[in-house]
Amino acid sequence: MTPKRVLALAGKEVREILRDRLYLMLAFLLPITLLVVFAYGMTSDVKNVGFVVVDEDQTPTSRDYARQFLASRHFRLVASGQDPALIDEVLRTERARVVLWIGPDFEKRLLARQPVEVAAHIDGAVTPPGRTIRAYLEAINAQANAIYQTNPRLAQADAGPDCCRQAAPPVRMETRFLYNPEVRNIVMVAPSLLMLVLLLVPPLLIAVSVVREKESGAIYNIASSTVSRFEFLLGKLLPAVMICMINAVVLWLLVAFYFGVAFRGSVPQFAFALLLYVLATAGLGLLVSAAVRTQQAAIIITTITAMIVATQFAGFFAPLDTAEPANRFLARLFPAGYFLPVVRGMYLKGAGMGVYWVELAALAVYSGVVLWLAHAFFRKRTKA
Amino acid sequence: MSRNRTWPRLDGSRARRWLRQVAALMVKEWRQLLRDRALFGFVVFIFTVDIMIAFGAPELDLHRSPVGVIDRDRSAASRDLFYRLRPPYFAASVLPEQEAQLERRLDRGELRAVLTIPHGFERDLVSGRPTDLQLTVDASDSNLSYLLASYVERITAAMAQEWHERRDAASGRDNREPVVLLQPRMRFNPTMREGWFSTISELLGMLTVAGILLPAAALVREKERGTIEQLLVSPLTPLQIVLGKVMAMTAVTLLGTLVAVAGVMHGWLGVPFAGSIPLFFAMVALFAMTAAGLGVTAATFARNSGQVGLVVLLLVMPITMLSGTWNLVEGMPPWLRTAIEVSPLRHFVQIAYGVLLRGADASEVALPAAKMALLGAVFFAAGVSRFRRQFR
Amino acid sequence: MASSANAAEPVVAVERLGKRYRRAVALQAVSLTVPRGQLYGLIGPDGAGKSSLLKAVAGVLSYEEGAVRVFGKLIDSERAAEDVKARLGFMPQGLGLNLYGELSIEENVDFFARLRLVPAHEAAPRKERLLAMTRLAPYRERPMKNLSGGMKQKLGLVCTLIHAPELIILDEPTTGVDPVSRRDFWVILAQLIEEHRLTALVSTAYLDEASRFDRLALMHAGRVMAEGEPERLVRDARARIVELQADAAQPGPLEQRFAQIDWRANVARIYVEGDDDDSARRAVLDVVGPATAPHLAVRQPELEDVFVALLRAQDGVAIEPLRGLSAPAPRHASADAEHAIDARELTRSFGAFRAVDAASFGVHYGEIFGLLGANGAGKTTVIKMLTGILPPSSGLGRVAGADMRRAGQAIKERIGYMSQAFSLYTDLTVMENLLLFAGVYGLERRLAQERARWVLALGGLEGHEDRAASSLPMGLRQRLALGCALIHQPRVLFLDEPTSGVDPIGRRRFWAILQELAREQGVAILLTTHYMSEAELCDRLALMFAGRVVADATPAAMKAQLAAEQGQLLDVSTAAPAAALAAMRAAGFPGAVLHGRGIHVMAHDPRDAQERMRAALERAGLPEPLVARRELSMEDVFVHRILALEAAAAARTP
Repeated sequence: MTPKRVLALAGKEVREILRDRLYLMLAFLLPITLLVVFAYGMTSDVKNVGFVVVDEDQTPTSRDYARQFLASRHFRLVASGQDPALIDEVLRTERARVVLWIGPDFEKRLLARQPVEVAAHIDGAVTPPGRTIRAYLEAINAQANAIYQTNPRLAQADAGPDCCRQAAPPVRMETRFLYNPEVRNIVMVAPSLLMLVLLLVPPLLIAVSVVREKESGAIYNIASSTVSRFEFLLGKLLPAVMICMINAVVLWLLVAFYFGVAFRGSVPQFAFALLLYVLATAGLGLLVSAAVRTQQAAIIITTITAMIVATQFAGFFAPLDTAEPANRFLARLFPAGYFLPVVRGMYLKGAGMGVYWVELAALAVYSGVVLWLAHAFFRKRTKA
Repeated sequence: MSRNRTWPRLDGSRARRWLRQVAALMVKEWRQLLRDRALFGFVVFIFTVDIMIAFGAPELDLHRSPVGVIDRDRSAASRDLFYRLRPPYFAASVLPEQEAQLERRLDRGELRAVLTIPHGFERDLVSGRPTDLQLTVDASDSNLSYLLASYVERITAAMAQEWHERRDAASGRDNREPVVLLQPRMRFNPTMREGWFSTISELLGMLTVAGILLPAAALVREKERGTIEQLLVSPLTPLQIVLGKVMAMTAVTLLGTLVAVAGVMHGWLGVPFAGSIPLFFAMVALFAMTAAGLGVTAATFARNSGQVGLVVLLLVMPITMLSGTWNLVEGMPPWLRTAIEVSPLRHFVQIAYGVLLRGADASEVALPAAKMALLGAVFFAAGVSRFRRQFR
Repeated sequence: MASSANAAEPVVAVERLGKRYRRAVALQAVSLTVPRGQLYGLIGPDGAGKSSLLKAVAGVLSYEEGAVRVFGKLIDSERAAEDVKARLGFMPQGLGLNLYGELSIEENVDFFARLRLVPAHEAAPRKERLLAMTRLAPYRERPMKNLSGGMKQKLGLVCTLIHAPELIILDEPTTGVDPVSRRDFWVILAQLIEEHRLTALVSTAYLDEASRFDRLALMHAGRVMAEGEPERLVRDARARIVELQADAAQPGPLEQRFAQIDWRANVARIYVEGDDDDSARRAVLDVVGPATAPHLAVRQPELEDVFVALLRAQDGVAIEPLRGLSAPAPRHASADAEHAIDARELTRSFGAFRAVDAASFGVHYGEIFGLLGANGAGKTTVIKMLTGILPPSSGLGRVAGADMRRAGQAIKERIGYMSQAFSLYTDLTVMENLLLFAGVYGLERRLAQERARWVLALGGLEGHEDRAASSLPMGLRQRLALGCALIHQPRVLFLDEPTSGVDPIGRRRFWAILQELAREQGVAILLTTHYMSEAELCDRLALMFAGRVVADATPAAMKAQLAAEQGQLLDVSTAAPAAALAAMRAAGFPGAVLHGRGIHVMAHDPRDAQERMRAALERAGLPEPLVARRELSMEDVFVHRILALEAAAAARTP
């Protein structure tokens, strides 16, 4: 291998990239757009959610109960009324995602120190946010109960204050959320997006640049010369890795400062981890480009693979524990599965390389294997 | 043939002729798509295998989550609590007192949470004094941590309840309390089957991809190969050229949706549908044409199929991520909420979930449908006019 | 055994080479040897297997049967191929496609030098020499994507040569390049071969370039049909060409008797089998009668004649006879009053660049009008303005009486158009393409079927209805493209380089169709071409240079004018054409140009010129040349005019 030749190839690549404005723009705009878009798209904050109250009781107590929900920023009253028929209509048109139904005897039963049932109709069509909404409703209801149980007006129906102490929650859970004390969704999502975006962009850029030469015929310059396959692949890999590392740093800064997710780890160590990951995913791009002949096919294959792997097989949305064994095996075939614990661990938990040496070693081996495979599949003397 | 032959007049009304021209282009588009292996394979994939993969996506739930328990009470009550943290949700293990190793095991992800049971837990429980349990949760995966905390809380509450009832039963005390029991009713998907939702959301995403990519690729291919000139010198108007592609690709999208909805989702995976299927398909057609308008506009910015792929990607990602297929649009910042109104998928999401799962009827989806049609008209006009200008 | 010192060893030796792509056979039992220091040509129509052979030799394509040896090394694996790649250069097909559009000329060359690890002290002077030689030096900063076809081709050559290879392999380097640039290219190549003792393996689809090679192989359908030195191939053909004044010829009877007749502007060239002048003369006289004897001459066939004969034998089909169009195009009463195409001061600017500058000309119905010019002269832009694809910056283009800027459907229905390169849907079959365009023009199904059958018959496409257009040989493809442009029976036809890359037989059939359309149906045809033999067949020609129309006349008038200005054409054949050319230019023949392996010179006083030439060559120590008077061809006219215009343009811009 001759470093001079690799440099010549890489230098030509850089020049071409710098002068191809659309490619250049996409190379830097695409990752940023993806990060921002995914960050907003994947953090299902329960805020401003449409809320309808059907209050058949119409008493101060029932109105007070309903207000508990609307006091938070989470829900926004879009309609209220007494007609249960309202429930289906507002949910079907997505005007509201929650309809709280309070029955006629609400106040009476409460004052009688009896349990009273209310119904929360939640839009379950968009299931995961529906589940989150349910959790919020339950939490607010629990707060409301805590107040009723200590509320003098409700308590006066009975005897002394003794009962109230009795009714106080017997076991208190003091929960401490490590690494993400406010349990903000973005804290989990944003760093993980480094995994997703850097799984998609490097292979895309590299596959397009290799396949473009195949389409034009410039690949014959390589094939008919003494440039070795390895030199050619490195010449493509280095500029792409360089661009993607710049991108990685920009994304990192975005996550830390725009989305405000504090970085707790060691900067050089995390940068090193990013480099290993980018090498591995860019290597995947080389592998794809060895197999396909048109840019269109290259883009379709890399995008689909990256999206499916990132969302289904990497543990992004749900941990791999619940996945089928086959899926868990598939996850091992892509670098995303190795990198996700690393990015969460190093970025959020501030863990060092020592903690994640197994995953990092796996990524290093992975890049080597992929590069070797691309080298093996790439042909200078082809069949067609 | 005579020199001064009169060229035969073309018969048939103008409108029929106009349609015949478009039809000829549509047939051509279908043939080309069938012969483009990459693109055709992609279309087949997104309407079949991809939907199935989405159905089998891992669900967000606890599965033998490793929880460490530091038991300082070593009583019957603390042991009871320990044994309640059992599979399928939890895999509890007893931890030694020293906390030195703890941090590292949480960092490593070997433990998702640590529960500390204090001295005098059982004594307090029996006497009715409040006791404080400590739970430390790894919240780097916030959804999971939230779930875990609420499960642990529910388990301890249930246990406390049982212990109190047993005590009260023994002492014969009345224990009625003024409590509001909130009954959550998950409408349209009572058992919260994630598969129903995920197949539909995946289908919506892929409809967007196909709706934009197919006409865009078809148009750029003509530019790339120079065949567009042959069409431009013909009596075809730019509108006809664009319409030929849009209609052909809309038909492909409809067929794909039919396979996905009737074959894969309903037939194979058993996803129930609440609303009117013809209404749904009418809306799919409207959406596909709207998306195609976007695709045509995108194609006018690209010179070759590689570029169009990247441009479409840049367009599709925000649309599918932010339009409310899986997120709550309400929760986004106001500027983004306003911006996403120009996404046709934003309106189609309401229609699709509305008709398929919520059983909405035509009058209930009329408003989003009208917005979508308006967007479609704008995109179309923009695409056709840019296309016209490019060759002028 | 591989030793570069062994000069007797062939540089390339191919033995019974076989190559297939899936089920399609590309090469069958191909054998040939390329000796050191030779310019070896691969000639044949598109799809003959030339590219596959060149790629196999360059070590970038694997093969199934036979053996390829380069510098004595058997190329049977990627590793084996690597061993010889340092010593060869390969330029793939496609004008400038292997170069990097975003990089400048200089950056392209530098990149190839670095890629080949040429030390800087060697690369720099070599680059300067090559750029100077190809006259690219003044444009070194210009991005490759902004170069004209001829310049791209020369840059490709420079990049292939920058590492001083011993063997260069060039795949159709001249396809799509105008005659002047093509000539330029061959001169440079010949010079390089002479100076560096290079061996070159070059393919071309232009049969008229065949005589430039030291040795060549004619390929067809994956086989080598003939191989050897040009002179030997001509000798082995054992045939004669009988030239007959066109007015004395009797087309009907002649065509019945002879299968291969080449109708030129004023002579019919009849291919007669048999290795004997007298019997050839008698064979023709038997048909046309002894009275025509004075109008008849017997010559040795040219390579092109031999190839056509060989291809004809292969195809097993008779060649469409091409009638001379020396008679004026028939004019219709109505057509006289109005031009079918009327360009008035047509101008189009792209930014500061004026692609077409006040071009004016008119074309009648029933007339074939040729637009000639170098690459980038503005021909395609004129056609695009006249077909309504591109609006003119100023001026007026009227077609069938309507301003094309505001042309409605009715006008577009009268126009047929075939754009440059093949622009049909290659993934559709022949019939699908035809029915598509029938539909595009709004024809009803029954009428569409009827027209499709008519086009199939006209273009000789019967039996190929269900073949994918991509699998058709170039000749059939072009006829299909023409058919699609004809499906609505237009009155005006625009053809932009319709026969580029088509073999001579295919071109003849194509022209037969054009002639029928013009003559029988009164269609006005405007076309562009780089084949000067086709220019001869046009009723009228316009010559474009730098966006302007600089001449507009019949081919005969153009020749007559040149003859009046410059005199008689002399063909000088000599053993060392390059050296002789230099000597002659120095001796006061600035207009001398290389033509095939000979030199063409024009002179008012042939005798005196001959004397001066002899003297000049003698002084240079060159053998005495063989000088013969020749009829002017359109190629001579074109080259002369363009060179003169280029010289004038260069003089204006210091």
